[in-house]
Amino acid sequence: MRTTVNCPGEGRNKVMLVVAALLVFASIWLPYWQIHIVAPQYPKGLNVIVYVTGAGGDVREVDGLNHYIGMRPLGKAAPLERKISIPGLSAIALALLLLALLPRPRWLQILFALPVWAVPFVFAGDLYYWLREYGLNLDPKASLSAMIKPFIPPLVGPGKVGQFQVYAWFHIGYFVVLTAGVLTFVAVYRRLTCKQLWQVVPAVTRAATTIAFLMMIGLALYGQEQITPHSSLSAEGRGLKEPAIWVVTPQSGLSLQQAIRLARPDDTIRVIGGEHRGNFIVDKTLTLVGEGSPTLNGEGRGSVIHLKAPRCVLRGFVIRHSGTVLSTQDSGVQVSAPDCIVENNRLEKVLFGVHLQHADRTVIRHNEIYSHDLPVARRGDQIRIWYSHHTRVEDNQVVGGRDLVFWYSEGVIIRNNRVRNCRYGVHFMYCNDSLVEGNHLEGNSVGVYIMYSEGVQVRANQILRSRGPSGMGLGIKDGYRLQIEQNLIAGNRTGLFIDNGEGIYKENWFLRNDVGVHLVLAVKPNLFQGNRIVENIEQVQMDRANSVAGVRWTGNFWSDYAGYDADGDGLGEVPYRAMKVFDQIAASNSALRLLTYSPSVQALDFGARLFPLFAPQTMVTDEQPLTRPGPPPLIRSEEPSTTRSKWLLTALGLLMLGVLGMRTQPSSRQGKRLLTPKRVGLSNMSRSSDKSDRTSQETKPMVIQVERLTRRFGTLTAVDNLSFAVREGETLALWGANGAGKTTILRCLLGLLRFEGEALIQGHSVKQEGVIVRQQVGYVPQLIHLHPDMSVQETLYFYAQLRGVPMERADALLDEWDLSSHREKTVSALSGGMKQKLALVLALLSDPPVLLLDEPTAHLDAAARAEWLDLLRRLKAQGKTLLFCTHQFNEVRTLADRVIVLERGRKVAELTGAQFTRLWQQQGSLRLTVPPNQAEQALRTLQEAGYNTEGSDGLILVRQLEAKQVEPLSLLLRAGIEVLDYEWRPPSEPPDWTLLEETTRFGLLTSSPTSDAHLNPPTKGEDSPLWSDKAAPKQWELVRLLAHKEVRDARRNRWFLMLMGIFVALSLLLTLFGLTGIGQSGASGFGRTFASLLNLSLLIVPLMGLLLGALSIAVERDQQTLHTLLAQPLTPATLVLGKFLGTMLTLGAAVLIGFGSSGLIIYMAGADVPLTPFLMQLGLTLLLGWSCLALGLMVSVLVKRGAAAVGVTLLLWLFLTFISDLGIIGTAIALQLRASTLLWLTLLNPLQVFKVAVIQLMEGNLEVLGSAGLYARDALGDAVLPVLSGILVAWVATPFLLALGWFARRGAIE
Amino acid sequence: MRAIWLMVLLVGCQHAAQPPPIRYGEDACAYCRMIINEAPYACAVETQQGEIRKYDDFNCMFRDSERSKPKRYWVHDFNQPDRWLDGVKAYYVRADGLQTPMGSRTLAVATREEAERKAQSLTGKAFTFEQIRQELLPSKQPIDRR
Repeated sequence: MRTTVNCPGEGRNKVMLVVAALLVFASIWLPYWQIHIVAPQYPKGLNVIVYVTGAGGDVREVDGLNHYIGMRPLGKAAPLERKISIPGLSAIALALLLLALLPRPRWLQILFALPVWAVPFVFAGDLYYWLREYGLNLDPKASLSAMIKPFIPPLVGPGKVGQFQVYAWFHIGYFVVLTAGVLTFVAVYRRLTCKQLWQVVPAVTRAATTIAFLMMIGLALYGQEQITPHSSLSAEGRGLKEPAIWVVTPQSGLSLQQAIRLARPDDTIRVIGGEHRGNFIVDKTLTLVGEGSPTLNGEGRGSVIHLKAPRCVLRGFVIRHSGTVLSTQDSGVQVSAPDCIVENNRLEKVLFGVHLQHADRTVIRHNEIYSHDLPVARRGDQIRIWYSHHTRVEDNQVVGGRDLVFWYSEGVIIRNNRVRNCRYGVHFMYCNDSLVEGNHLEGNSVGVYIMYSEGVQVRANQILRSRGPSGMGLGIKDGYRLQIEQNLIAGNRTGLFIDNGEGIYKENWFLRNDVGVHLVLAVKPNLFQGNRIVENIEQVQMDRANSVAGVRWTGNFWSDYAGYDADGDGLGEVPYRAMKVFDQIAASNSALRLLTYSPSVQALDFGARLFPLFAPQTMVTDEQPLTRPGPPPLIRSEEPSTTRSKWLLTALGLLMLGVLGMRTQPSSRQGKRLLTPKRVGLSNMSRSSDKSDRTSQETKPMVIQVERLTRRFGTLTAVDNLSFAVREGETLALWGANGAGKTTILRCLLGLLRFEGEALIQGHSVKQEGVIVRQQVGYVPQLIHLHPDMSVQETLYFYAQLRGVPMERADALLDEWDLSSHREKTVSALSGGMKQKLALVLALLSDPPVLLLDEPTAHLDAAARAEWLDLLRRLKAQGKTLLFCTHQFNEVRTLADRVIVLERGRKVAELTGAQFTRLWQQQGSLRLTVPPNQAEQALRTLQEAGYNTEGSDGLILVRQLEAKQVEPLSLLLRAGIEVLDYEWRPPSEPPDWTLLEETTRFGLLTSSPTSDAHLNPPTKGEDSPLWSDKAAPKQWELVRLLAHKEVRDARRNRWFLMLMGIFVALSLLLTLFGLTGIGQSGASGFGRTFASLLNLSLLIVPLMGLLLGALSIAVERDQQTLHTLLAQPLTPATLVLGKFLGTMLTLGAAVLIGFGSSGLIIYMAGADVPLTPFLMQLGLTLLLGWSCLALGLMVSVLVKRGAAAVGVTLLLWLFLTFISDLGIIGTAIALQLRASTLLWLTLLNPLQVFKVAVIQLMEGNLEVLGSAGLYARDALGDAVLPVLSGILVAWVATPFLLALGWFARRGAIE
Repeated sequence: MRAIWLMVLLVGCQHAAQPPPIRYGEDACAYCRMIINEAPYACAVETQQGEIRKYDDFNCMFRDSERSKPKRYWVHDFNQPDRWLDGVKAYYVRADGLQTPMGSRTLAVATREEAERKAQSLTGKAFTFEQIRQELLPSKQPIDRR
């Protein structure tokens, strides 16, 4: 066996082995491997250094990053290896030491040397295993797991861990172990071969080995170089800034706040869904992108997100619930750095929307911004820009905030935004050289307001319906070098307002504003060219002519231009001139603006045009006006339209109400329902007529008792101290010549005239119980005056209802009195006799026990008279008590039981009927015609016989009773005198009552009822249900009946129908024209429609009301039907109230029909007109009409004749509509009245009250009425409408009550 | 009867003027027509003709007073914005840091001491009525541009 001998250089071998052992041992504490991670947020990158005992370096940071990609913590890798690393390497070092001491045996050399040779390979292999294990087994729930695919980190060289770049290399410890292995190899080789290595291998090999060894060291150093922070490989060394993309989702553990904190500048943070609460401050350049509308919720505190670094981008978020403190300007988005972009976000419930401060070149676009639901005064600005030049605000939608306001910023571009329901749509304050273009501004208080700015262009915008406080479409206050072009400014209260400015206004449309252009101060050059100033209520308003000297107008289209284009060049041949008298007047006292929109103002201006002598100074002169405007621009309103069906229902409802209000008189069936029906058959009448069992006249009760009745008309005493009584069933005649007072007595007994003394009928006082009295009295006047346009049946039914009599009775009477065939004839078509009969039937409707008849046969021929007297006899036979006036002997002879003779209102005699007849007859004469040659003989014969005769030429008159007229005839015949003709005639003068044989003056009859010293109520006989107290209808029922009749009469009133037709037609036309062009121009014409209806209401409605009221009582007087009505069982107040209510219904119906028609048009046009103000205007119009109606009624009560009443009311209308305003204007100018005084003075006129109320209703404020309007608002606050409505109600009530009082006090017939 | 009623009305209307109520968000400044929104800076005057004019900022009031020649001034106390002060007797503070509706950068307080205190805290300057009027009149106050 060959033994190992000591080879030469054994000492060297031992040294190498010992060194190797030491190196191995030392490597325990040396890093074996390192990986460098390029993480942008770490400028120096991250390093993980692997030792045999574990990992060191930036393990915690790397673990933090690895967590997001689902990699396990590094500390959990290689647990076994870490545990055995120290003992293992120690053992290997010990083995080398032993090897150094034991040069033999050979197998021991290799055995002890193998481990040290294996360490590098084992380490590398094991490391690769774990790298692979970690990289391929990522946690799927990690936040970035969706983005990162499994990978194998590099063992050496560049690679990727997740999204990070890495570089790996072996570290010094690895190379130390490698060196130990080389030394061990050399030593063992020498021992085994006893040769130097270099003796074995050739020199080249030696050199290559040396070079390889050197290369190994070099590689080690190179690797270190790559992964050191200053190396070019490191991110910092390379200057590499690759932005990272962070993803924040609800499931990840990464909050947005954390992401913002962790992200490096220029990183992108993608936020996918979720709600993120708190206040976010971005203090580095980041791009924040929201996907799936993630919400940033400020929780009601401060600003939600604040971009403090330049070039930030905020996109795609819902941002809400900022704080609500104005002073700290809590915002949705606050930007205080330049070059940021805020786009595609939705801001809700934020106080300030996007607030820029010193944020030049910021872009705000495609955002939707909705304000907090707060009162306007407490809202913030939706876009507020402060010292931020060259900002762009584009394609945003802003609703309901305060302003879009731009302060101290130049070069701002505001383009294609849609701004609704804000205070100021765009508001410039000290902003120069900016552009406002293509925006749609609608429903704001002010559309665009340029203040203290220069070089601003406003182009191609649509500015619609700015009607809030100020109410300007485009306002200029101290604006210079302005260019205003191609804008559509429509439906605003003021289209363009200029208070000191300088600019060029070209090709703009000022369409249907209340005021097209309002110039307060424009002394600097302003050019208006090519504009269309179309259908504004007031085209141009100027506060002072000399304050607008710098304005030049040329080539504009004026819709009120009254010129012509002769040569077809599109330009007018005569200049357009605007002259407004009222503007000039109001300039002298601005409080007179209170009269704006009054018809009197328009009349003033119209009059100025008619009479050039009084024409005011010209305000506007356009030398070459356009004659054709061209097509208007198309607009689409963005306001949500109101429910159209509501309009349809409302309009139809108004029309129905109007039509119902004009319904005809109720039918007979309805007539029964009006009053409590009492079925009374004809048998009752026959029973009541059977008085055969009555006691003698003297024991019958008193039915009529009059004591000391006196009636005066001024100084004339028509009835003087008259006393009489009438018993039940008795007929008393009042005899006297015309003017004796007969009719006056009857009217007194009916309560139609006031009188002194007392009168009882059926025990009821005429003065205190007039209604009951009239229920029991039937009255037939001398002249029959019934409503001529009513038919016989209508008349009967009407009066039956007034008396509470069922319709069957009326029908029965028609049949009984042979009037059925004339049922449908109008009263005016009846003959005198038929009228008389009808009047009697009316008097008998309630089968009254007492009949008062005035000259019952006065206007009848002989045949009719006989028939009539026969009728009256029948009534007398039925037991009715008759009191009638007459100067017809036959009436007395036929009917009267007693006669009271009247002369000049005094009773001169009271006789029985027989006495009267005899006396009458005594005063009569027989007219004899004899041959002339026998005349003297005849005279002598008669005189000798004791007759009172006179005569000549064959005509002899003999005073003789009618019954004894034969006696003189016989005498003459016996004397042989021929009587050619004879005729007995009644006395031609009133008889001499003293010639009565059995009576003395004042006719004492033992049975005269006037012997009763006191008026004693008679014992009442059997009550007929028809005329009893209980049968009398209630007064409110009669009011309703009269109101119905009034409505029916109005339908036959031509004046009223004409006015109503005008009102309805104009309502339709005005509404139609006011709303025309909805589809074309998109302007709703809100202000114009109601302004037109306002004027219409101010002119037509008062006229209708006044005329209706004036004719209500006066017509009855003209027709002389008033006393016929008042003879019915109703009070004067009932009559007046019934008429007033009826006319109120009629007028109300007309107004409802007018407004209903207007509402239908609005519905059909689909216009966006608010319903509630429309209905409130309707209510105010009704109040206006009714107040004028009450005034007219008052006139009707005071004035006797209808024509005079109409005349007075027309004057009153002129006064209220025009004259009073002119008086106020004169007074205000002369006395320089203050606004407060002028206001209250003007409100004395109900038309002005109405006008102011409507303006308050439509505009929400009274600013348009100038300082007086502002005063009213300050004085009355929220109570403006209630107070004005109350004044109108007072105007309704007061004249009505006055009319009622006067009518009741003065009596119906004067 | 009607004439007596009329006289009563006319006489009754000649009452002494009081500071007017201001409807924030509705009333407009009589000078610049901006809608008055912020109580601390809202002010008002009564003219010689008895007309009440309201303003949203002090500079508007003073600029307008050149024409309207008021006989009374009212301003709000910055510390108690619902309280009116006699404008002539009030004290004013002007400070660059104040953001006011029309850029006057001015507030009003009741006493000189308060004005000086506020001036110190806001790094501004205190003024009397006459002084602030001269400060804010147009001749000394061109369009304020930075």
